[in-house]
Amino acid sequence: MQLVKMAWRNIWRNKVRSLAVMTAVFLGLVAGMYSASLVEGIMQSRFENFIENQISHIQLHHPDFIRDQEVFLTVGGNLDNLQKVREIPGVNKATIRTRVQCMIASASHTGGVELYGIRPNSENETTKFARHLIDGDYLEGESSNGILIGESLAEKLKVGVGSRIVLSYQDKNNDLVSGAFIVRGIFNSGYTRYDEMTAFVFQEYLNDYLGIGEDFHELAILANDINDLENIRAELHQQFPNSVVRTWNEIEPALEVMVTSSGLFSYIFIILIMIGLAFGLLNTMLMAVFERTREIGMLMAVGMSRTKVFILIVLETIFLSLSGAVIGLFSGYLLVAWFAKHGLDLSTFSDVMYELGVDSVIYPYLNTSFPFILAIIVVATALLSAIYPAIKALSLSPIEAIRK
Amino acid sequence: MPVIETNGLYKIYNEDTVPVYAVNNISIQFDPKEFTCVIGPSGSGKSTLLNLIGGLDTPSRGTVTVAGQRIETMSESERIRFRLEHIGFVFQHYNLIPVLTAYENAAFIMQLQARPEEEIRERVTGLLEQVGLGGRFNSRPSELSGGEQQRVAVVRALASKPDFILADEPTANLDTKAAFNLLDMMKQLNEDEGITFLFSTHDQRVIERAGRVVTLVDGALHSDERKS
Ligand SMILES: Nc1ncnc2c1ncn2[C@@H]1O[C@H](COP(=O)(O)OP(=O)(O)OP(=O)(O)O)[C@@H](O)[C@H]1O
Ligand SMILES: [Mg+2]
Repeated sequence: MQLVKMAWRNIWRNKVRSLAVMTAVFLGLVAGMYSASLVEGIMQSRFENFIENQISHIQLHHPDFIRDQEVFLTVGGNLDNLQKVREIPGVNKATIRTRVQCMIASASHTGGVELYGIRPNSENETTKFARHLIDGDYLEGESSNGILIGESLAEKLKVGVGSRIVLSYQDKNNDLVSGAFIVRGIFNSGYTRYDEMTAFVFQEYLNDYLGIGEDFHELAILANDINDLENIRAELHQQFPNSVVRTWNEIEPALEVMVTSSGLFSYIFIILIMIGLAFGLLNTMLMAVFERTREIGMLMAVGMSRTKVFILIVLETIFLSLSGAVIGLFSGYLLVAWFAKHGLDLSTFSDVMYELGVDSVIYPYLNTSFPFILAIIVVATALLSAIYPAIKALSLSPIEAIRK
Repeated sequence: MPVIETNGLYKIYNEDTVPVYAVNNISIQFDPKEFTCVIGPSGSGKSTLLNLIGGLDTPSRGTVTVAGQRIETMSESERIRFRLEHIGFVFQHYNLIPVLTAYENAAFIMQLQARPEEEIRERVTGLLEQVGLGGRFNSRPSELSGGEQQRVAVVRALASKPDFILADEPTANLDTKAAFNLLDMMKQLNEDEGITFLFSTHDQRVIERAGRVVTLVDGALHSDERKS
């Protein structure tokens, strides 16, 4: 107790210097927490967008389709199947697609695209695709020869809404078939490459051409809870014995790497801040020890043990860092919480954000344990920075110190 | 049995080049309750002798026995422990801890010894009042006069009832009146508490208050007079 009291009072002996250190710790932590939460928020947004707009949580295919993408590698089924899938506990949304590689041609250009035969309603429920439309309409009403193409592809083909284009593809017997489609709508998903290579038509219409009845190539599922995918997988296996079921991280291993590495990034950031803090503390405590050589010598002369002198210096270092840190962690937490509620509007950079696959309003995200982990890291840093000054203090000789 | 006993004590600096005999073959004993003053010209070895006896310094040769224990063979940590338990110190300056109050400073040694709070309060309060600092418990050292600071230092040294108190020129920074006051106070405590004092001084005026006067010249014992 005596030591705690002395240590606390000692840090106020040089108010300006101590306040400078505390302010630095405070600012470092606030900035560190804020940027870490921003990165985390961006990653979360990116992650969710990727799942919700693109790959969904779970996909199901014919076991060979992923490699070969042949038209005949379908999963058998009819519309009842989709209804049954929706009834699996934990499934939020589900949709089926037919996928085929084809040539697309207008009067002025020919290119290859991946054609998706979709069920417009369930597709939009699952991937909210309709929101990407920038011109024309989404596929609606009765099955017809309407097609949705990306903006960049439309530019290449020099077509607009209402234009006629011709698609050629192989049917399930590998016979080449062609069909005329009318551009219903033009979309921009934010990914130019994707927009250039992808087109959407009614599944029913496409399946007729391909001669595959009500079969499909892909089943995509959005789950209620990302941590509850294995049950759904098991159910799907029952329902579609001859198929392969993949979860989001199996579909996009890079996404999982991104998720884990964003956490890593936060810690690298924090470690850099801590290195700065450590040097600041080391320097301050060395000064404090050198200014007080006589006093520390006297303490040892009258019988204060080396252990206690060591603890005194360590306590001072911890108090010095923690008093800034506690306020910093608290303020940082409030700051992040405010932005997490109201969002950080970056619509000025919306083009860039769009390219990044991130919403233009970012909601910083902070793991609730993060401030506590930070506090522990600060104390650990303080302990490390205290060692050298404390050893210096112990090496002082009492007689040198008390000599006039 | 003497409280302090030295035998053939030497402290030699620069032994290989130009040796300085800071303490030159001193064998001396101090008995309980003695009130001894060490005098001698500047550089005669007073501080060195006191530091050796207090276990702050190690002799080049000879032995120091304090309260029946040989201290010159102890390790640094053992000596710190020994000082805490057996010896009270009053220095010329930098005696007190600036961030602690007069009371906290006076209680410091007893607290290091982990004595019960109640005992500390009683003892320290009583002593501070006895030396006329009753109203200054909460003053910081910077708010006290030099004489008051030295009194707090004496109380701190004394409160834990050590075997003896070492004071190297405790009055050097004080004016005549304060010096006399401090010496009177030490003498009083020496009688009341029966505690052994060993102090050094330059100051002719305070010498007459000592019960025994040891004179050093060039590190050697020159004279040793007891008053009766
Ligand atoms: N660390 C040292 N290295 C070399 N010589 C030293 C050292 N410390 C003390 N001395 C010498 O030892 C001798 C005794 O010094 P000491 O300080 O004990 O004298 P003193 O009687 O206390 O003097 P003063 O009255 O000035 O305090 C002096 O000649 C001094 O120069
Ligand atoms: Mg001296």
